[in-house]
Amino acid sequence: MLWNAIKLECKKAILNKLFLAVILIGCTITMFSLIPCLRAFYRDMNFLEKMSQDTSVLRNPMMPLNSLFNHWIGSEAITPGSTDYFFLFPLLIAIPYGWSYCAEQRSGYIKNMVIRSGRWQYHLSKYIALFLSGGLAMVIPLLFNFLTVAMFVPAVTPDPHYITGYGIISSSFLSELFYTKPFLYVFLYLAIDFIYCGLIACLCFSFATVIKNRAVVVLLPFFVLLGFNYVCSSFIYTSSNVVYTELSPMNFLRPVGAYDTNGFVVSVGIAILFTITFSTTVVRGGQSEIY
Amino acid sequence: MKYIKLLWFDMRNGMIKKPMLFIIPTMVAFTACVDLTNRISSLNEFGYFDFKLTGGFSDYMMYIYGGMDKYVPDLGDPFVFPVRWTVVFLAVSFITLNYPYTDMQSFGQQILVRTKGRSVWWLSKCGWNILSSLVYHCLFFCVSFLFCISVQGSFSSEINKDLTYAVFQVSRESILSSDVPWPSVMLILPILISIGINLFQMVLSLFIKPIFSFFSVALLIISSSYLISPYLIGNYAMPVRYDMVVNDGVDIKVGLVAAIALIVISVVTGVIRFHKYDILNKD
Amino acid sequence: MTTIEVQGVSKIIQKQTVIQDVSATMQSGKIYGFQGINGSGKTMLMRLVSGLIRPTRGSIKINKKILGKDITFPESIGLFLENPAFLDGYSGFQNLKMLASIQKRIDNTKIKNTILSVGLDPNDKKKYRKYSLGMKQRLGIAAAIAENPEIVIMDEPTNSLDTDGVELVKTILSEQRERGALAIISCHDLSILQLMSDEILLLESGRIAKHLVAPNFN
Repeated sequence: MLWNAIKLECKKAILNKLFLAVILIGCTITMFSLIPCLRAFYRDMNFLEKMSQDTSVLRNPMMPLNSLFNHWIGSEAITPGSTDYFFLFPLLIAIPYGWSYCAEQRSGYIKNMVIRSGRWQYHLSKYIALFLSGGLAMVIPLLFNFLTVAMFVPAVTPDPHYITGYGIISSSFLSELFYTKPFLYVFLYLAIDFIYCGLIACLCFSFATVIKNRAVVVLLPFFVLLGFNYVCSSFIYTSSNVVYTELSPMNFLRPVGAYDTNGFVVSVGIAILFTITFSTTVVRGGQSEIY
Repeated sequence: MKYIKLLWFDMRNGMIKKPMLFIIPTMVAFTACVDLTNRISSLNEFGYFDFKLTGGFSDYMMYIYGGMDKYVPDLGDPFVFPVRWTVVFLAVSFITLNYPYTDMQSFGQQILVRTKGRSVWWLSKCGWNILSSLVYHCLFFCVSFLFCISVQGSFSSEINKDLTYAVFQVSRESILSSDVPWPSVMLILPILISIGINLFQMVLSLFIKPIFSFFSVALLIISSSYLISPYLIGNYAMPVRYDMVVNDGVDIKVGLVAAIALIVISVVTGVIRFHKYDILNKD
Repeated sequence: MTTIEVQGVSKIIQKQTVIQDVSATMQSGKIYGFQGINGSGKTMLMRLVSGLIRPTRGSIKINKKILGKDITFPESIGLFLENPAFLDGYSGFQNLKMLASIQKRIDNTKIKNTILSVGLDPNDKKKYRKYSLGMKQRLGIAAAIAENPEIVIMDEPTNSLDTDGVELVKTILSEQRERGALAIISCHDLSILQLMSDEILLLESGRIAKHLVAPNFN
């Protein structure tokens, strides 16, 4: 029964027009990172080639500096695509399915589901579906960008000698992995993004238990993150002479930023988000009365 | 008379009953004032100024609406969006997003058939939108004013240049060497831009889902902070980027024309579109 | 004397034809019943006649004035479409008072009498959000008839009503006919529709399949 409910919810969450629209919008935004990055890459390559031809001396092509791992959208914070994507992601991940609980409550569809699958099962399957749709909506465009960049830029392992070209320094989160096993680094970052965005999308579910308006429910996670970012920037990162630990997911879900985060912050963030979303939806929903 | 009555309905149902319209500006203004006071104290301790500076009303307002210096892409300098400025402009867009749409699908239908005119209904929503935006922004002024009184700050009509350049970390190359004072009246333009953006969002909701119209506005806001361009209207809502403040800044007069044009175009487009709009229960 | 002339009206929404070449003439002092299965286009036709949506083809004339061209909405109309929608934070009386204040055709006494006539208490301070489904339905009916409109449109007015409520709707409709209003109703209960209507338009897939006149409904 539970498995069938999960399958049905996941199908509804992923095989819908909004999910497709969001993936398309996401991929389009990442193109505004891809194009400037490729332009910069080819400009550098052409410049080095010309230098070698002009001076008849083979120059150091500095290939680790022009690597896939500092040209994909996740590891650069200077193009409009990267800026827009990592600012708008809380909206993108909530749009595909964040509205569903609200809509099903309003239409009475929830009753049909609950009497067939059970209260707890319905809420759990909804939670899982939302988590998956949020995570996928975030990660698919990132993956699309990573693979597209990989078609043009070689996946040279980053070299610490060129540290200024990466923005990943020794204090950066998972920096050791970045300079030794960059594919694993990218995979781990995508996994963190997936988990965070899945949980952020589940915030819609939590809000929907108290708010009836679906537009508000979908937009609120964005404002929660923006508000948290505002609190951090106004009250925590107050001095320009101190290197702070990044606390805001809006900033640390991209590896490169003004401040670095650490494993503790990331884990605590996941724990808090999970506790809030799971307890207000699945745990509470499993006992709640449905009118 | 009918218009006034409709507007009054909208004010009662779409403004007075929206506590966030009052809570958000009050909180953001207060925290911004506290933040600036702390920053001024730090700068004074550091001996940044030749004398002990106290913030004035215009400085607080500039701190809230300032935005950010132009961004020059550099590997060593990742883009960090102006959080406060973004919150100020997106929060009001969020608050004014849903009311016309939900009203149109519920009680507003009853009002519509009684008013006998689509244009007057739409214009009432435009009026409501403008007044809501004005109330929202006025609260920033009121809270800053009260805060300024409480800390015994100055009420000069001019904005302190050195303080602005310091707190917004304006690059040396951008700093304009001019003796022309910055009148605080230039802080009116961001409000006009905000009204224009909110009306634009309302019209856009007649063509696409409100969530996507908000998405478009958010995209416009973030793109404006990234790129200094006369075509991205959000730039005119950032006084730190005005040509009287920095080199290569945006022209404040063009901004004024753009804001008024956006308001007029949005209202007119809305009237035309709404005239042929099918009122269906889409939810 | 009110006349509604629906002339070759079609409506296409998102590439789907929901109303197809519908023509009919309706006159005051009569009740017109829209009959049809779910999705046959009853509510859409009501929306078209009320001016909330515009025909893709054809025209609707109300007293010789083209809807959407000469007039935006019918000059005197009471509307009850699908689910009643009122402001949550106000009582039934306050909601009707707000609506009545637009045209100022009726005073508080008339509003109270109308509320009373649908079986609700006009002095009840209970907020609309706390109303039961049946109470909401009754208030929706009250809003449609309160201002004595020349055209009354009611979509499924008997939904969620108890037997007393259904009888009430019948009485109200008879009253509307007696005072010379043009009433359009839709109802899934065929017996009520046949009992109350002077003419029945049977809709199928957005078309008028049959136009029956009382007493020959079968």
